[in-house]
Amino acid sequence: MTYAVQSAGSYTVISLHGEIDLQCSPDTRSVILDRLGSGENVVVDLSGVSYIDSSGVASLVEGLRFAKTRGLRFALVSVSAPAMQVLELARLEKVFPIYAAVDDLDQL
Amino acid sequence: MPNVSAQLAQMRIPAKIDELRNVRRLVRATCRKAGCPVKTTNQIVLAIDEACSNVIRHGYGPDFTGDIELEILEEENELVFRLTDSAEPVDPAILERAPPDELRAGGLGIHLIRSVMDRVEYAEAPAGRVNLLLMRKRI
Repeated sequence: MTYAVQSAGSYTVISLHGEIDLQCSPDTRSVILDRLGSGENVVVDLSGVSYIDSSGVASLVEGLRFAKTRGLRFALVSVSAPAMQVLELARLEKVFPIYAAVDDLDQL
Repeated sequence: MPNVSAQLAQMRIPAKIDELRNVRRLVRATCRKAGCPVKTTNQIVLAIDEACSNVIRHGYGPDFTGDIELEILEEENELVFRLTDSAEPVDPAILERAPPDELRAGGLGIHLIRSVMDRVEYAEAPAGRVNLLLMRKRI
């Protein structure tokens, strides 16, 4: 798994690429929580994710929970088909705010 | 008439997280060769990965001193996945736990395995092994 971070208006976009499994989900968790911990509104771009397991999904859940406690925005964008399949199996597809693209989010 | 069972693949790996990608690769190739559609294959890959992750994380624990054996069989219209290990004995009741709450990710792995597979059960392990997780998926 690799990731890239960039700014998009009032959001920080974290783009994840590759396979997110037990080995690299701690890195996923860290990059998400570090940015939220700095008070940034976070958008996670999952367009490049070819695989995600429950530990990767747990990192996203943790990000959403953390954002809610801090009054920050947390959303998923461009969710790849394999990642959406796992979110649906986990019955979490309606729990996360999900957008087709970063441009679809309201600027704060 | 007894079920005719054909072994499609078998692997034994050290119970280490960097081996999971090899498990996924073998399961994906085997399912595709057996004629599973891409979506079904993706789901099966996820379920087996979750089962192996559980053994590594919760079965062997931080010492990681053991192995996992996966055997994939075809029986009639089913794929059968036999996962054995020599870790701590698993309480089969773990399979009966309710799905996790929306925002509590613990137990999600088991939920995913049960959602994907048609039957999941712990069975009597073969000699020399401690746990045998049997997962069946109709194809």
